Amino acid sequence: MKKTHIVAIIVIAVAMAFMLSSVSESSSYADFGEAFGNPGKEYHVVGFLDKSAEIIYNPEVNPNLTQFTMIDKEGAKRKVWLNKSKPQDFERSENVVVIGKAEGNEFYASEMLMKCPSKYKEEGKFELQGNLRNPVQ
Amino acid sequence: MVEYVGEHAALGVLGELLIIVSFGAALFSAIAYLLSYIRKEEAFRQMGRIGFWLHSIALVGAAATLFYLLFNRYFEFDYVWKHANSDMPLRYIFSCFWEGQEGSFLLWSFWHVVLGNILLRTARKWESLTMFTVAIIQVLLGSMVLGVFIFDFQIGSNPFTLIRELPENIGLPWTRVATYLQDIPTFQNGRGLNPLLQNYWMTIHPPTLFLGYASLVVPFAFAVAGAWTGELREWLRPAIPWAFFSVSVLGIGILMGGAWAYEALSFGGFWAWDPVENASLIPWIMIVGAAHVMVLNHHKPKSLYAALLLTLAAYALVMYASFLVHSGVLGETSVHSFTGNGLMAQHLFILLSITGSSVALLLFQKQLRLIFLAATIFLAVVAAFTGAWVAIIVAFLGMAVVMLIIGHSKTFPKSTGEEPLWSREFWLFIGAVVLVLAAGQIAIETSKPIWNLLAQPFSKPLMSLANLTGIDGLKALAEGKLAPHSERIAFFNKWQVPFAFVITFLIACTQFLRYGKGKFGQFAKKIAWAFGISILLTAAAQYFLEYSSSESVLLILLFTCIFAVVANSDYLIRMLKGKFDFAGASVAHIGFALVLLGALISTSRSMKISENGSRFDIAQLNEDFKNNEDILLFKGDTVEMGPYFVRYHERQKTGVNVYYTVDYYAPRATYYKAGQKVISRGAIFEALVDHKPGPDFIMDQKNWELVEDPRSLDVETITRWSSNRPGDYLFTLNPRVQLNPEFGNVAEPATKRYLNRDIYSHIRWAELEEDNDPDGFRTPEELKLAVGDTAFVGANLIRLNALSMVKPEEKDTYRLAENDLAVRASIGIRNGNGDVFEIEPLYILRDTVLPIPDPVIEAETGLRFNFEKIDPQTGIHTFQVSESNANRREFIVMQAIQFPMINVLWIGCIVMFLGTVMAIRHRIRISRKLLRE
Repeated sequence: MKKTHIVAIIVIAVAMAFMLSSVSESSSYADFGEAFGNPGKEYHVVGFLDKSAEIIYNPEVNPNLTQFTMIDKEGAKRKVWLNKSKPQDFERSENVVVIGKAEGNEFYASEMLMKCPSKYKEEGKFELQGNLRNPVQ
Repeated sequence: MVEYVGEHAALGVLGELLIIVSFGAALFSAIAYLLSYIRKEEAFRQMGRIGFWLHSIALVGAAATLFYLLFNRYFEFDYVWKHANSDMPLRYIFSCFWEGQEGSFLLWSFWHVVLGNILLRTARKWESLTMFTVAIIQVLLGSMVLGVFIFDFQIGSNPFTLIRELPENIGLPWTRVATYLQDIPTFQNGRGLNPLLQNYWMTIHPPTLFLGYASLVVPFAFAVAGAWTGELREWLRPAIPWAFFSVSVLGIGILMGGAWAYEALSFGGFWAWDPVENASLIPWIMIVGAAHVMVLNHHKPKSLYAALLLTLAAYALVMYASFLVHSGVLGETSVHSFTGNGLMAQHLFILLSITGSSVALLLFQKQLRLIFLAATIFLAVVAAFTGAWVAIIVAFLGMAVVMLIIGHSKTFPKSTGEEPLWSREFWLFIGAVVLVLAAGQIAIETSKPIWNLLAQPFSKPLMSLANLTGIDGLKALAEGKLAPHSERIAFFNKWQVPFAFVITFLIACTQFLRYGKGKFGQFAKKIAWAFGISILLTAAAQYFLEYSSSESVLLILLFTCIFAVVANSDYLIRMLKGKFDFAGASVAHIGFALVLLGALISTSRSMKISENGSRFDIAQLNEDFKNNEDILLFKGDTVEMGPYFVRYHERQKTGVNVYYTVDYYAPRATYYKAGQKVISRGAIFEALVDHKPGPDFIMDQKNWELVEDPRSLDVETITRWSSNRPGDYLFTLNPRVQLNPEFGNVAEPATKRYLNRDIYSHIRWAELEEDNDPDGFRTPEELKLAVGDTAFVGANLIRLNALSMVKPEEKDTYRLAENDLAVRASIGIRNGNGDVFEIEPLYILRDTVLPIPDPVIEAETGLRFNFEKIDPQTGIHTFQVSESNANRREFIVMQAIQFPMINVLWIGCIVMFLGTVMAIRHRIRISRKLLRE
């Protein structure tokens, strides 16, 4: 066999290996329904923070634990324990992705991605105030 | 027509006009240059040049106009309002310019203009086709900032749009008010710049990175010209210096991004394998591979196809990077990807046309190109009729791959001769292959959101395949739910570390190999010296950095990095005898190996020194909860943290920044004398002998005796047992939180730099808002408790012990009226020190119907209780509990990481940059010399 053939075979093998590992070792997005249907399996759950529920962060007790309620895209509400300190401005987050496993009635997240709105000052809030509403013709 | 007061609409019109002129001129230039190539007439070439000059002037003018608007804060313009505000320091105006997509496209085009003008003067016989390529790229990029609507289809987005002209505002009443700028408060100030970008790195990192991206257009243009004309080798000579220029600038741009992340972002490191970072790394790896194969071919007529393929691919990957970052396709997978602005189709069109043209060029033969063109048109027509765009794009990519294989086999018939095994060209080629694999792995993993999209039409067969193989990932792919690896950094490292050690090993060896035939014996003799020294150095490093034998993968990389540094230094001294002109490659390789070495040591030996044990073990909550990385610091307390003692000292607000002063002290060993008393594990002990304590009290217990009856002791003088106590003051760090009501507050790290290590710290959580009612209490927490339930309020553990009716004879003591009904709650409180208190709030119904609030305060803990509601049915009762600010101590939650040897990485960056500059200089000389001959 020629050297180039050996190289080609190794290249194909390595390329196949990382494609397979990329697919087989990946986590998947899910809603709470699926995550709680398979407790102990790791999922990425996309949703948003339930701002009406309390965010419990008690750094005096443990600075690395936050608890909150999250609503997934289907509208299911679950209590989430997060093994991280409470992110700054968590209350203002727009979207959250929690990465972790369901267990019992709660979701245990080891990691969380948070998307803050890129703008807090609402766009399109260009409005006239008071008696200036009448446009000049 | 309304005469608007105070509006600078004319400037906006000027800007738009300049953009249109620059777009038109680029198109004109491209056409003229193309004709000059076809007709070989000097007049067309002149027209092409004039077109490009006009384009240059218009584009620079458009950029200058945008700067002018930003400098003067004309908030009636959408771009200015979105990215600037009036209290911003002048130096950040540059960052505002490229914060938005429109500005970053202008910046990118601006660099093309600069490079294009250099190319125009230096390309000589290649001018027509290379300048045609650059001009076409400028047309494509220019279309991104056109902001023109053709029916409902938007082409590009223009930075000169007035807010009142935005589609969503057209027709609103206020847009017809002449004095709207004065009347509407929102126009008085813009939104401003994201605080994360308000950093000096952000003024130099994006321009450098974009120069890097832009510079890739030159080797691309030469490759296009080479493949087009069929002069398959001749284009290499002028392209090589440019390829190394790209390697240098793009590499430095990426590393500057790392430096920015390390200084301004608080994820705790300089590289996180974030999709946006990866998007820039992939084309860099490709151009590194391309540049090396180009040099190879310059010496031996080998790997020509690889040189063409990699150069074209590197540029297609730049476009892919832009597509990933700008189109919004990354969605949830990246923390800091930009959101799309509805131009997805246009981004995709640019990406596919660059890819398609590159494929067409690589087919070499006219016949094949025609087949490819016909097939492409056929697919486009099918897509337009069926609307099955995704399936057609997949089919197109598949067809392109097949055509590439046919094209290669037709033009490059199987070579008869083989490269000798111990030749430089063989191992250079292998290096390029490994680089492509490394880039491929990053690309495949980063593109998961794309896989989800592309898999859509094939969800059924994928699902059956998933059921057949039992691979969960395939099922996720079929459903379009494939998510990034949850331990992304570890996953990337697992793959990239082996690639890195092959590459560094090759970097060490290849210089010692010769082009053409070589003998292993000669090579081995030359390199043996460096090999031996590297083994010794690795052994020493292993000992000092405490790498265990279980970390064999890291140890191999440690060795190969050291080997690369030593071997190249050896080559520099012994073989080149310090000849400066030829040293570029060796110096750059030393730099690259140092970057990897620094990255390896600093990340694999980084230590979260803020990791601490806490009173409440969370592993019992969930076995995966192992994270204890953040430490709580009460103001004024001195706490042991890793190899230091730290004291959070004060908080200071300066402008928009809140600085937290944290002092660091060296630990000093304690020494206990016989008779001294300490507290440990809730009991008091007396020392039996004079001794130096060990690391743990339990192991030391033979030296201590329990004090059975501590009542007579003066508790105040007894200290807590500790093997260390704070010693000399070392340094102070001031991590800060930048307050920003528009974008949210961001924590910015502070770092103490030593020669051999950094101590990096940032605030993870701090109370930024004052929470204080008139009586000095914080917002109450509502607790719902059944008898026996516990809850935390601040550091205090609350337990509802019992409920009991207040008996009639007790009513006097509580000053209750005759007809009042009252229930007493017995509540136990345990504070942070473990002291226990009791309090009995009452639930009172006046005349048995009207509930009366009766707050009671527990003086020691400063907790105020209000028994709100009693619920006999569920047995869960409601209390309002608030903490007194006087009793509460201010605190911060902080993270601190020690990065050893990170300076090796930064030194490596500088060395690599110098090396590439030397190599470019050398290559330009060779190129000039060859031209003269």
